[in-house]
Parts: sequence; C-alpha cells; structure tokens
Amino acid sequence: MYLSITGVKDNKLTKYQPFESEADATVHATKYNGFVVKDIGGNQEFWIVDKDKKTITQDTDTENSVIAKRNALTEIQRLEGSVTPRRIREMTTDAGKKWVEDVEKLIATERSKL
Amino acid sequence: MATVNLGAIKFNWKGAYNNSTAYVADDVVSSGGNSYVCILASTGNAVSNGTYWSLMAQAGTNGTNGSNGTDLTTVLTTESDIVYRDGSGLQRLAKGTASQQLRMNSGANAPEWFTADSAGFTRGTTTTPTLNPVGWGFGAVGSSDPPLPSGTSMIYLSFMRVSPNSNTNIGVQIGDSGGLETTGYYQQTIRHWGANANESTDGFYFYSENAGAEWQGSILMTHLTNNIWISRINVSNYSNFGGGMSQNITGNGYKQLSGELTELRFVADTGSMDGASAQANIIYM
Repeated sequence: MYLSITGVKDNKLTKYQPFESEADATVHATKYNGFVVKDIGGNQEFWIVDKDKKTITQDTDTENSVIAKRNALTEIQRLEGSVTPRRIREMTTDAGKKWVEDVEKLIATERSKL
Repeated sequence: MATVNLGAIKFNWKGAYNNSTAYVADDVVSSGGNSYVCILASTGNAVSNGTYWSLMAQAGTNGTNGSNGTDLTTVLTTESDIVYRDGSGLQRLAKGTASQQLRMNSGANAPEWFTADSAGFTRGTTTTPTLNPVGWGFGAVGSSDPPLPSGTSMIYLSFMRVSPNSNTNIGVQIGDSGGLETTGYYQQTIRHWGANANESTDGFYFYSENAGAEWQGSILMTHLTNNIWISRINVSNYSNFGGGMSQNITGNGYKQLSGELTELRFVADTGSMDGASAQANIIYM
C-alpha cells in the first residue's frame, strides 16, 4: 500500500490518500503537490512526517506514553463508574466499605500513571 | 356617384400543373414547390416556359446541417429519439427504457438516461469490506472505490461485527479530491456504561476499549454548509449480546473540509480491523 501525502503540518500528517499501486499514488501526489511513501501502518496520530526527506517514521516513545495515559484514564473512568449508588449504600457494612476503599486504591494507582 | 362592388378579387388557383389542362391567363398552378401564374393561354407548355408562365413564388431552400438550416431527420432516426447539441453539432440520444429519468452526465456536457432507485436514493457500494489494514470506503485505493459524486449531501454508513484487534478509535475519515484529512475533527462520544466520554480530532471516531469487541451500528454524516459535515455515531457491542454488560456508544461531531467531499474511509485509528465477519454498507444521496 502506498500513500500520497498531500498535507503536512508541524511534521504531522494532515492529508493523505491511500493507493494500491505506487504509480497511482504518484499520479495523485503530482497533481496535488505531494509525495509518495510506502504505508508503514500503525497509528497515524504518532507518525512523524518529514516533507523534505519524504519519509514517515513511527514515534513509538510518544505513542506508548500517550496510549498508556489514555488507558489509565479509561480505567479510571471505568473504576469511577463502578462505584454505583448501591455500592455506596453498602458502605455501611465493613465489606462494602472495604470494596470502595479497594477501588479508591486502584484509582490512585491509575492516577499515578497520568 | 354610383359604386360597383367587384367582390373579392383573387387568383384562379388550379392546383398542381397538369400538361393536359388548358390554362388561360391568370391561372395559378404549383410545380416543384414553386407557384406560377399563366400569362398566355396554352396547353402542354411547361411552367419553365417563360412565354406562358411567370414565377409567382419560389420555394425556400431545403434545410441541411449547415448555416442555412437543420435537417433533423438525419439526426433523429428512431421513434422517441431526443436531439441535443454537443461541442461540434447535433447529436442523437436514443430513447431510454421504461421509467428511466433524464439527467446530465458526470461531465455536465450531455444528457443521459438513468434508472433512479425506487426510494430516490443513489446507493453506494454494498460489499463485505476489506477492513484490514486500510479500511474501506470511497476514493482511490482501487478502481472499485470511485469517489463519491459531486453534490453528495448525506452519507449513511451501517456496519456489523467490526472488530478491532487492539484498543483503538474506529470510524470515518473524510476528504476532498486532494485526500483524506486527518485533523480538525471535533467528535465527541459517550459510552453508556460508566458514564465515560471520549473525544477525537482525527476522525469521526468512537473508541473501542477492548480488543475483540464486535461493533454494530451506524455513522450518519450530513452536509451543513461550506463543506462542514455533521456526524452522528450510534453503535453497540455485538459480542456482549445475550450476556455481559450492554455497551452502547453515541455521539456527535463536525468537520470542515477544505473542498467538496469526495473521499471517505471506514478505518481503525491503528489501521487494523478484523473484517472476516464484518459487513458494511454505505448509502449516499
């Protein structure tokens, strides 16, 4: 798979078109003042696009960091959502109180990742 | 002073010239499209003989495909043909079939017949999409993915059992003839479990937080104005049906393109979805 890259801003991809053949991609890139690269896959959000060198690289360090934070945030949201009114009512019991405290600890662990 | 009423004075019309008829002065006949008046009585003298006949009215020039007229019979050859002009001259459009409608072709330079869908929609491709690795939609990639037609103002993507192989955004990227745009989206969704919200700027995306989920639902996109498109996402997790937690996601968003929308792709943010069991369809108008 080949990409005609027709938009780049601050080394980030803003516009592209995929093609099955390099020749088709070249026609498109020529028409729209772009350039052609081979599709490297992965999350485009973390591609570093070098217009001058006409290359794309995956910024895996940033990707791993951002994804880890997003996953932590997602887990926090899930844990927060698990503390339902019934769980709060059950805090009048020792078991119920411990359950909520355990969730709070899990939330704290996830927050430390942000 | 006395007056005499002469009544109506007229030519003595004799119809078509006949060489066996005796003509007298002021008889008028037709011949070869012309009219002739008799100036000297005779029988059997042709109208071309100036001693006996004078030209009264001459027939006009027959029309031809040129500056002095148009002979449509050379263009229109069959019942219900229609004639139109292209860049060089008159052209024939053969009749359509029953219930077909007339429209301008994609080049906006000639009429053509087309069969409209009974519901008034022009439908897009119905197919089992190849979702891995590049997604599926309209524009480029292959000849089977033509651009969406100019003037498209509503797109309805429906799908089932679309499954990511990792936690990822899933949804639609749109673009103009210059390509798909990866920034400038303002898509918000809410997952109806745990009150979790999600935002995306790189597509009309919803977030699948668990690999193996099989999403079913739809994404509606409508054109507002100035290449601004409004999205509506509504999906649920098929894999949880009949057991497990019900997972539904809804949301709205917008995106302004730099040109008219012609490109659309149904993709995963990480570029990987399992299309083995997936079905998807796009209706547009």
